[in-house]
Amino acid sequence: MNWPVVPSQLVQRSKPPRIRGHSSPTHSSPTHSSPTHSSPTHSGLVGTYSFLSLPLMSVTLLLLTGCSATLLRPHAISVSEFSREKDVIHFTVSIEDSSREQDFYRWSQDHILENNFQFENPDHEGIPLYELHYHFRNRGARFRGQRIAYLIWRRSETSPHQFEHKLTYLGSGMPLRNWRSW
Amino acid sequence: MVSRIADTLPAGTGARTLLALLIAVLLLGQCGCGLLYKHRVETAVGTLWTNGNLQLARQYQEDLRWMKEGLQQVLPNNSEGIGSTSILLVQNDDDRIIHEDQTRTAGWYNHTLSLIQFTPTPPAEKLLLPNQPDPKEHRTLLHELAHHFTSDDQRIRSTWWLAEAIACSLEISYLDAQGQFQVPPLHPMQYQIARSALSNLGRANFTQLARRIISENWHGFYRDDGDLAKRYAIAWALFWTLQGQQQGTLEQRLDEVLKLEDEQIIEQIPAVIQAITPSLQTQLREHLEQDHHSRWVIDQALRGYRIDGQRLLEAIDLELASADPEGQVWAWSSATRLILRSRSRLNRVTRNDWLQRIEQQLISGSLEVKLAICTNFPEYRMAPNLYPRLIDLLESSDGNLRSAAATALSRVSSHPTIINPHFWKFAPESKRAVEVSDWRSWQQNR
Repeated sequence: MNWPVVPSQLVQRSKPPRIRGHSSPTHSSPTHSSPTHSSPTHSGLVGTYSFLSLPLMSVTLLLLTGCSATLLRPHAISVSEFSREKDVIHFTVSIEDSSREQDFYRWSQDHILENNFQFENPDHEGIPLYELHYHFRNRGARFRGQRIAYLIWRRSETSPHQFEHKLTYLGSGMPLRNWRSW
Repeated sequence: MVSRIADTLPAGTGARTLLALLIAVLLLGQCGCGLLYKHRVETAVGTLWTNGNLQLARQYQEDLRWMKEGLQQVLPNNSEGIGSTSILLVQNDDDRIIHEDQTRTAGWYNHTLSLIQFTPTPPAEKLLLPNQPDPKEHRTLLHELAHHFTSDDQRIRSTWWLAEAIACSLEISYLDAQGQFQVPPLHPMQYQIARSALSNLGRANFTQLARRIISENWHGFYRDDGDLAKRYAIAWALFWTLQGQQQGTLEQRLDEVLKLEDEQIIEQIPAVIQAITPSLQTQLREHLEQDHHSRWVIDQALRGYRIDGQRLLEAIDLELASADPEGQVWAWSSATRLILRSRSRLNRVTRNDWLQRIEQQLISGSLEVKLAICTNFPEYRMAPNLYPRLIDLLESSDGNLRSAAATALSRVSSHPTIINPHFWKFAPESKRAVEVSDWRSWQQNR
């Protein structure tokens, strides 16, 4: 199975891009110095730099906000689990606000990796987990939140040490009978 | 002179661009879709192109053969002189996200290019819709093929509601146990949608909407305003009612409907309302007696919320009387679904009698029958009488049956077990024995 690249990991590894003119004077080399520190004889050029730096800054800002948006995940208020089978666990994840479809995927993927579910079954030692079901509920202002997403992960047939994402269902209307393995 | 050249240059460039574009389109047409698609499969109705799974394409190759023969059989005159069509099979196997309120285009047909494009149901969606008696992938392809077989008729091609209604009527056709092409007497899904529209809108608004549908142009009929499914269903209901008033074969009835003027059709809207007023179960019950539709009707009826279990069981019992092994498998799977479901209006005596018969099949039935019973247990229906027999099957010599029995036990009991099919098929006997022993001790202490 090909594990999709988690964008957040990429972002965490990479350094934020340098912005011309925003580096501190003590660290800046002459080539990276701010246009405001340039000689007055280059005033025409300074104007061009300012003109260029504006879209550059906008692009950089856009990239930065884009990256930070990628880092956002559903904030889980609580996670509870229930299971009717020895090798299947259902997690009910209450979140504060609605999230995008990729966020549910990423949250559950991280949850699997963090808890080492590929190798460990917390309830039945020695029995490998077969399926993991995630029910995301939007807590909002209500006591009993509304389900907004449902994900199924199943042990891969080709790579038995990995879980494979089978589906993400976005909505609340799916009948209860589908809330378990079949 | 110079000035003239300067004036005519842009015009010449435009003409050359247009010519190049035309040549490119012609070349692309001549090369077929080979430039865009990896696989080319020749089928009974034309070439099928796909970038997806070749194995699935070959399945459709087989399906298209019986679909073509069936459509030729029910529409002999319309089929005459029908040319080939190209089919683009677009697969979204990687699409594992399902949006509850999203309507996706499963297929389309273009008469000018004689081109069908369709997208089979993604695997993720199939996970949510197990045990569908009439797979949707057949439905879409047959729907588009029905357009191809009827679009040579100008009267159908230019009337959007009618073109869709005819395609909807034919899309649910199927091959029966004898290999005969059958067009069911009604479209359960469209019937339900049309009936629900009538209930929500009321007679007056329903009539208004039906009138609008009859006169809609292309854009009006196909606009994505959230009511598209409703328009399809009402169009189907109109055609279903009108053809039901005629005599003869399907094609003869279709010809009679085509002769009607818009005003004559509008006059029949009250008849449409009357036709879709009874419940779907009532409609299905009327067709239960027809031998060639009996299994189809039972399959459809079992999907309903509340059913007439006694009538259905009688029909299933007739099927069981046949010596046909395939019929036996179908009948026992249907009986299991019926007996173990709720809201079937069955009395306790009948239910217990049938439970005993099912139990007997789990002991002495064929492997296929045992598998059919195990895979058709509904969720959350406790069946304590069957526990011992299902536990016995966990020790069967057939891996698939062991796996099916484990799934059945998980559905009909509250005792946790291992449901991973790989475990029941391939794990060493010693490991499986631990699980079976767990089941037996649970059964004794229950």
